[in-house]
Formats: sequence, structure tokens, C-alpha cells
Amino acid sequence: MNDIVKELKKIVGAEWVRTDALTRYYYSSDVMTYFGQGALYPENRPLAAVLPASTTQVQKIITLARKHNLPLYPVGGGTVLLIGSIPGKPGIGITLDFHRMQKIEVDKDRMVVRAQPGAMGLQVSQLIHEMDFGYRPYFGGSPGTSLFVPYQVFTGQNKMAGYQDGMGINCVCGMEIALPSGELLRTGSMAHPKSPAWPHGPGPGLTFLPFFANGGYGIVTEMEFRFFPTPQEVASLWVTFPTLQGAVKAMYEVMRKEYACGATVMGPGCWTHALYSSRHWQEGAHFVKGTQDINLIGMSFRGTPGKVAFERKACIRILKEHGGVPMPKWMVAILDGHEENAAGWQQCNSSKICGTFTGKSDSGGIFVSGGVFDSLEKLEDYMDRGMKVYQQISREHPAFLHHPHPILRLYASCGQTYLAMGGHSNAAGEVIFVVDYARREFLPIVGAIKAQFDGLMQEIGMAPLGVGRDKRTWTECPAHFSMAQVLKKIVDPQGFLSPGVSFPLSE
Amino acid sequence: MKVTKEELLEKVLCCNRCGTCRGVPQDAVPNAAFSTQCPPGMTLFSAYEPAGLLYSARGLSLNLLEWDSDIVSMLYSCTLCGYCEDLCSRGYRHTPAITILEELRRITPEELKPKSLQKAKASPKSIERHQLSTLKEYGVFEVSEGGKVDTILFPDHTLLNNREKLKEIGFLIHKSGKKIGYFCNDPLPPVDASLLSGGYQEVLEECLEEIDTRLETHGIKQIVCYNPESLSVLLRFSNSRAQFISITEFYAELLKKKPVKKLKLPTVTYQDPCHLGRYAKQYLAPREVLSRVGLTLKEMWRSGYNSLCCGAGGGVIFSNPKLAKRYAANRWEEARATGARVMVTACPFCYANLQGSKPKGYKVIDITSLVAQAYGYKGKAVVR
Repeated sequence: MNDIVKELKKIVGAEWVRTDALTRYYYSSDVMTYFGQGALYPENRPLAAVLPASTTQVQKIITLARKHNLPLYPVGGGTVLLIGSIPGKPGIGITLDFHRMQKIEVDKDRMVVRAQPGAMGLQVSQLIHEMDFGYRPYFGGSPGTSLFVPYQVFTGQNKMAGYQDGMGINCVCGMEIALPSGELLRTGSMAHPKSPAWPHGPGPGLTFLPFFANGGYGIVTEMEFRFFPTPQEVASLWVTFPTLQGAVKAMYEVMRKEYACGATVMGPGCWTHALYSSRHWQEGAHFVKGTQDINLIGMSFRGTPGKVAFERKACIRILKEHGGVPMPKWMVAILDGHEENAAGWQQCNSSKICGTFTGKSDSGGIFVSGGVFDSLEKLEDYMDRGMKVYQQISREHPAFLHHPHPILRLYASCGQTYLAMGGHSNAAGEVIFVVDYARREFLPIVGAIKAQFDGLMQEIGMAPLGVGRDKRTWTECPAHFSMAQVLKKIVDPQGFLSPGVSFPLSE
Repeated sequence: MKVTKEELLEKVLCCNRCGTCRGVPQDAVPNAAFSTQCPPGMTLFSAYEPAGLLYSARGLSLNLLEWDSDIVSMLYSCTLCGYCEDLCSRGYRHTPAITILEELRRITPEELKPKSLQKAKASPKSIERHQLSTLKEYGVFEVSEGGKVDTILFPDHTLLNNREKLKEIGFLIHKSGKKIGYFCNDPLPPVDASLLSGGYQEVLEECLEEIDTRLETHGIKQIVCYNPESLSVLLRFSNSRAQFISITEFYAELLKKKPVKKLKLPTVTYQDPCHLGRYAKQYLAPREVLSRVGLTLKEMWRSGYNSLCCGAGGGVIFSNPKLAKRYAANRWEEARATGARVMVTACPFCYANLQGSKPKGYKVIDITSLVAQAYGYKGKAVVR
């Protein structure tokens, strides 16, 4: 290892190779690795962390790693809120931190932003602040300033990002990827500096390829995202459904027509967009409390007044056909923020749109459960039984039940992101349960809820987020995963890029 | 001031590494080049950002990490500017970052602490020599000799032997016509944030006890602090019923009552000292001073509530002066973007660090010198 460290120091400079215990500890964990946030998988320390400053250095590191068969785990902006950067097992591999690669450029003529992996969404916000471009960061209602440009997007983790306009999948129009061979691949718009912002050319249309691979196919060293002009008009629509299945079917229909943006199915007591979009967390909390027994679809519209009116009317018709009931105006008044959202959030850490519960230091949120199912029935079963578990345990603890804060947040993406990505609709859906709590003494209760959810996950057969670690399949369907493995063998036959993240560790 | 290991862990778990603490709110900073704020985080490594600092506390609390020079190096690269905690509470959670970071410094093994900061432990009670008698020349009198007085000046270490600065302050006190005293024969322990930076909370508590007792004994109602670090420490931890104000507030009040002729100086920019601004919430007084002496202020983007630390805080100026200058370079970069070539500040540590790192053709002015000049002070430290 000492020789490798010496080689790494030659590439990036001695100061930028860290092997001390503190650094290794820092990169051993993310928001999912400790109980406060879920403890979904163990903390695994890398052998070292390296901070490259250029694409050339990344290529050299890859070449060195390949030579020594050393696993590489990339981290983008450095705030790790989802899965992907933690070594597959203790004491293997090197973490690549892109802290030194934060360059961002806006090309107004082409309406794109080109960013390096260490850049923060906040910086993009600042750059386009006065350019009259819509920009809708993923998790925009959450205050994390580096949630979307960072490793999640750059390593392909951020599957939920960018419904229609944002820095997510649907807005990525080009990538520069350092392949396991050390060669560079420039996809879509990045093949030529003056290329239009088209993901399908002039470079190869492989922009979606690295997504879900979590750095398994190559390491993205630059990306281009499209901007959209600020719309003339925005509107939102919130529709309730008697069953989750009805909501999901209606959602598929809306998506096939390519209407609306930011559309999400939400199960009982669910909040996702409501909370992200509300102006204050209190608004979001109010909304969640009021929707404990309904299924909901939320969506927004943007464009010319004619387009907005047409799409909204068309969606109401489709949703009604599936049993949906549009919510009256007074009921959605608290969701005005959603329209601001659709207009293009340009602030991603403003307190007024930070729709998260915790508030004071003695409160927090625990990620209880999250994963995907291969059938809608399983998803529905899981959500239904999960809610009952939550309600039962809450009833057994009146202080928890009646406290204004503890609340189960439930989110189900139900396939739309998969559809949006090109038709992987046989992955029926994804569900995330999060419990917010206001007092640390509630932790055991939250722990009991979590334990029940873990049991349900096993019993019903959920593939957890961050798979690869437990030898189950990918977050996609088995057929897709088999195909991905074929590609993986072609581009990375040694399997040294992010083993144990999306692709299981070899035995 | 002390917290248990369990309490420390509980506080640390408030942080989920969301990253809010890294960036300045975009409304305030329309330029991506100046969008981050944490001095060590933006200058060094990710692990040195607030989340990394707090995460080390988690590792130490759970015995997953052991104290070593790397942890200490990271910990003492923090300037304790407090912006991470401020941003955290504005946005998402409320991670008490300052309490955690100060506690980490308290529990740092003594042998690993920077030697320069270890000196702080002894200094408050061992004032071997000082030149405070200079103030007597301007009518500032010894409290124990001068009968009843409501207001006193609180000199800190940086003032004790700075005769030129004492003369400026004496001159201004004289101009104010206010009856102000001080403890000259037996100075009050000149506490500032260095005791927190070094992790000597116990010594600070002892000093504060003495200060509180003597203020009570002499019936002091108002204390004018020269050093913003002294002000913030006294505001946070003193149990005295007396009112603590900054000398900048004193100047603002003085200028309001006794206007001066406008100074003829080029446009200036202003460095908000963290202990005056973020800790003591005084953003208006220095700006009022600048306005009343007739200066045109061109603000840096990261200013006021969003001001960036000059790099001197947390004892970094003593424990790692080179690093402090690297931090200051970030600040100068922003100052240059304003077009102003003069930086005014109201803190002796900001002054020293910015003065020691200023680009060619730029100037740093202490607010006391500025006000003294406005009132016609002709001493050595005049503004040219």
C-alpha cells in the first residue's frame, strides 16, 4: 500500500492523499450508516482518500487502481445523504473526493451549465440567479447545498432527480466519463464545445448509462445540465384517490401523455412534494397531519398560459377517470409554494423553503425504510401494513402519538421515475418511510417502528436502496440488472470501480 | 460550560451532514466564487468542514477514533467563527456546533494542544507589566481611587501594552466627556476567547468569577470592551448584571452626540469581526461609525450576517499563522472585488491578520484609529 500511496502522491501532490485515521473515518460513513439516520449498512473505512484536481489526474488514478486492482469509490460534493460512496467492505479501496474540482460555467447561449463533480447546487443557483432561467434542484426544499451536483448525480445515484427541469437525469445533456480503461468518453452535448444541449448528440446518447451504476462503469468528471426559460405561467394540481393502486394507474396514464412535471404519488400521511414545496415546515406538517388517510397525486404545470390550462384540464380528466378527486382550492392553499417550485427555485438553502421538521436540537428524523418492489401489489401491501404498524405503535405510546412532531412521512415514487428514464416500468415502485421525532426519549419507539419495518421488508421482499451490499439485486428489475452486469463485465472486467455499491462484491 | 460524553454525542447527532453550513445564502452572494464560507473547509479538505469537525466528535464520543495529531490539527484549524452554527439554525436543524467545538478543545489532551495556545491558560492571572497608566493622562481614572463610577473600560491582552492604542482610546474617552474608570493598579483578568480556543474553560470560569465579583463590589453598571473577543466571552458567560458594550458602540454614540468633520478617505470596505458580529450581533454600530466619519462603504458580498472570518479566530493566528494568512487571502480576494483599497475592522486580531496578509497597495485601518483621526488626534497611529 505504501508504494501505491507514493504513486498517488506523485499524481495529485502529497498534500492531497490522506491516510490518517480521521480522514478514513470521515469517509467511512454517510447519512445511512448510523442509527440517528437509519444504520442501514455498516461503516467501512477506505484505505485512503485522494483529492484529484483535474480529469487528467482522475484518469491517472484510475490507471493506477486498475494496475493494482484497487477499488475506487467516488464522492462528489461531499455531503453524503444517499448511498454509494462507502466502501463495500472494511479496509478496501480508495475514496476519490472531488473537493478540488468545483468549477462551474454557465453557457447562456446554449442554456447549459457545465459543472465538475465537487460543485454545489448552491453555486449553480448563484450563477443563474439573475439570468431568468428556471432551475429546480433536486430536493430543493431540503437545505443541503450539495445534494444534486455531488456524487449522487455524478455517480449515477440520483435517480429521483430532475423531474422535468432540474439538475437531474432529465436535464443532463452530456457527460465526460473516465472509463476503467483510463480513456475518456464524452456523451451527448459534451462531444463538442458548441454542441446544442441535446442529450442524444452529437456525442453518443449514453447519458443515462451511468445512472444506477453508482460509479460502476466509470467516473464522471464533468457534466452539462440544461436550463429552461422561466415559464410564463405555473399551476399545480392535487388529486386524492381512494386507493393507492388507482393513483398509480392514473399516474402512469399522465406520464404516458407526457403531461405535467414533478408528479409524484404519495401514500397515506405522505408529504414529499407538499413538504418540499410549502413555504414553512409548519405548512408541511399541517398538510401531512391532514392527509393521514388519503392517497394523493401532486403535480405542477409550467409553460405558456395555453399549455398550462390545456395540460391541467387534461390531467384532471385522466385522474378523474381513475377515481381521483381534485382537492378544492382552500385545501391546497398551503401548497402555494409548489407553484414557486415549478417556476424554478433558485434558492436551495433559504430557510423559507426548508421544509423539514426537526427545528431544534433535540429533534431529528430517522430513515426507517426504503427500497423497491417488483410488483405494485407488494408495494401497496407494504405501505398499508407499514402504516398500520406505525399507527399501532403510536397508539401504544400516547405521548408519542399526541406530540405535535412525531410523524411518519411516506413517499412512493411508484414507477414514474423509471418510466421517465426510458421504460423500466416493471420496477413497480419505491417507498421510503421516515419518522420525525421531537424528543430523544422517543428514539426507542422509533426503533420499534423501524424493527417492524425491517421485518416487513424481508417478508414482502423489498430490494433495499443501496443494494449490492446484501447480494440482492440492483434497485432495478432482474432483467435490467443482468444486462447491466453484461455491460459491467465489458467496461470493467476487473470490477474495481465501486464494487459492493451497485454491483455486488465478488466472492 | 462542560458537557458529558453522552451530551456531546447527543449534540453531534443533530448534524446529518446535509451541507447547509458550507454555503452562504445565495441572496447575499450573487457570485459563485464567494459562495462558501467555512475557512478550513474551503481552504483544506472536506473532513475539515463543519460536518467533518462534528463527525470527529462523534467518533471520539463513541471511541471509534483516538486522539492524535491529525485530529488536533483539524480541530485547531477551525477559527470558531460560528457561521456553521448560525447557518444550521437558519435553515434546517440546530446543531450547536460552537458548543461541540469548544468542548472538543476542552477535552483535547494537553500534550497535543498547540503550545502557543497553552500559554493562554496562565496569562489571565499573570499580568507582569502593562501600560494602562497611559489612560490616566486622559482623565480615565482608577476605580478604586476615583469614587463612584458607572462605566469602566475593559482592556484585554492586546491593549495592555499597546501604548499608542491606549492613547487613542484615552483621547476619545476624553472627547466624550464621559466619566469612565478602569482597574489600573490591579487590572481585571483580561479575558478573551483565547481561553476557549485553548480549551481552558475552567480557567475562564475562575476569571469570570473574579470579574463578576469586582464589578458587583464597585457597583459597575456598564463595561466598554475594546476587544470583541472579550465582549463575546463576557456576554456569553458572565453572570454579572452589568451591561457589556463594545467600544465601537461607544464610538457610534459619541459620534452621534458630537459630530465630526468628514474624513477625506477613498471608499472603504469593512470586515465584520466574528465576535462583534456573529457572537455579539453588532452589525449596525460599526457601519454607523463609518457613515458618521464620512466614509463611503462598499460592502463585500459576504458581509454582515454572512460575513466571512478573516482567519485569525479560534487561536489560529497564534497556533498556525501561515494557515491564518491563507484564510485571510480568501477575504482579501473578496475585498479586491469591491474595488475598495482600504479595509476597516474593529478587532485587534482581524487587524493583525489582515495587516499581515494584505496585498500590495491595500491598507487596513482599525476603527479606533479612524475615529481618533476624525476627532483630530495627532498621535502616531494616524490615518493617512
